[in-house]
Amino acid sequence: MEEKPNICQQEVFNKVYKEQVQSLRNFMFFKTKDRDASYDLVQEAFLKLWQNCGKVSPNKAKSYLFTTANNLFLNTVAHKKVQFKFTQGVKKSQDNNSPEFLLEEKEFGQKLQKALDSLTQLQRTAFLLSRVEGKKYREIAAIYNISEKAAGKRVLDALEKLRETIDNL
Amino acid sequence: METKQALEKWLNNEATPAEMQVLNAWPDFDIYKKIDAHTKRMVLPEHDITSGIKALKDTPLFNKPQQKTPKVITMPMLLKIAAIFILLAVSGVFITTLPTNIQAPIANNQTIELPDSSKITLKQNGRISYKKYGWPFNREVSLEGEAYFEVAKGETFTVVTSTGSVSVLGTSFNVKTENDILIVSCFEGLVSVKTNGISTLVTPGDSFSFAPTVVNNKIYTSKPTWIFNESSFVDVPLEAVLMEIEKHYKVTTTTKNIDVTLRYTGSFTHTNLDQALQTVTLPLNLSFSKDSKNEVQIYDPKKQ
Repeated sequence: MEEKPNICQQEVFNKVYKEQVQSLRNFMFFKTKDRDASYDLVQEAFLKLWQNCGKVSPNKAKSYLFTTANNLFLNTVAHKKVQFKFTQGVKKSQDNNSPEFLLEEKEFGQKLQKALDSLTQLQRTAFLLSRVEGKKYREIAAIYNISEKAAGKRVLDALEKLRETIDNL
Repeated sequence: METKQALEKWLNNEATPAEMQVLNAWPDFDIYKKIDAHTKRMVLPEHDITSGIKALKDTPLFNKPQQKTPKVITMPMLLKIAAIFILLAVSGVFITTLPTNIQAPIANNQTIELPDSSKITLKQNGRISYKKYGWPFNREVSLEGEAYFEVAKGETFTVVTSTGSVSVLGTSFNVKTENDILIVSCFEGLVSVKTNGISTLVTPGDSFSFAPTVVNNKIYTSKPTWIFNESSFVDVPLEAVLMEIEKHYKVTTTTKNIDVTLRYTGSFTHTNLDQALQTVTLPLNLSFSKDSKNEVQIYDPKKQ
């Protein structure tokens, strides 16, 4: 009898790790805004998956990881104030290094930073999952166990709030 | 409202060209695009897979994968099958040793059909016990009282009584136990009776009483008469016949001027007291009288 793929098997576990770790890390990063904290949460979630390898089938591993990481995050207490970083933008057909452009970029980056801080954790994570990760509403809905419509509304609300905050700064 | 819907679809990369047209014509769209573009440039932590896995494996907890999960009993397939068979065997043994007890009612005979279609007619007040579910392996019946057996062919069929055991291979026979006296009558086939370590073969037409001494009597019917609600006697003292009448009709009998050791051969019915008394007294040239208190007197009319 051939054995079914099982997360308790080292190679299956490694495969799941390779496939899921980056998106899980991003997810935790959007929540915590913290490189180190997100790393710890991700590693802890995988450790939990390993400890429960007999109870979680490989096709359920992804949702198990996201749920577990989310729960672990909720258990952590308030984090130190940290901020997101952005790479420098490229403006088409103009001198990238013109002082005006750089200044505007910097200013906008700071505004965006503040605006992101003003969002709730749920709004921010949903928005970043959509924008940065390029996740569809359907995927976001699956992570939070909400409807696709609610996920779309969450992302749109976040965008509108960001705009409003930036306008007022 | 239309723009909002288009904007929501755009965020999900699902805006149609027509919706894009609406959005591009909307002055506010620029700022949204700017927010989107800038956000997308967010620096993400790059997760090093190799070092991540290695770090995990270095955690002490990682080496005990089942530690926190409750112990689930896992067995190899073969062991599971074996366990099921053992369970079946044990419950089988238990079920096959469950005895079935049957007691005939005080005033009626009872016919019992055994699993192999052997038939037992149990005389009133008699009691048998056998293992219904173990029957195919063990044809054994315990008997108290009297019963007539019609045994289907097959393995040895044994009737166990307090005095001895009766074994047959397929026949009709009657077994009566009373006060440690065992009476076996054979109607068909061959019956082996074992008492005190001695085996006696009873052939058709023979009736043996065992204990204290072995007495052989002949029978002339094809079935015991009690089956037809009759008691029959072959060369039996009148005294014993009267006792049998007392037993069946719940009456008391007295005798006057007669010899109770007179031998009687015949049978009486269990359904009519007058008829029964007549069949017993007439052949012996005796008479009887009854009173209202269930007392019967037997007397010799010539000696009156």
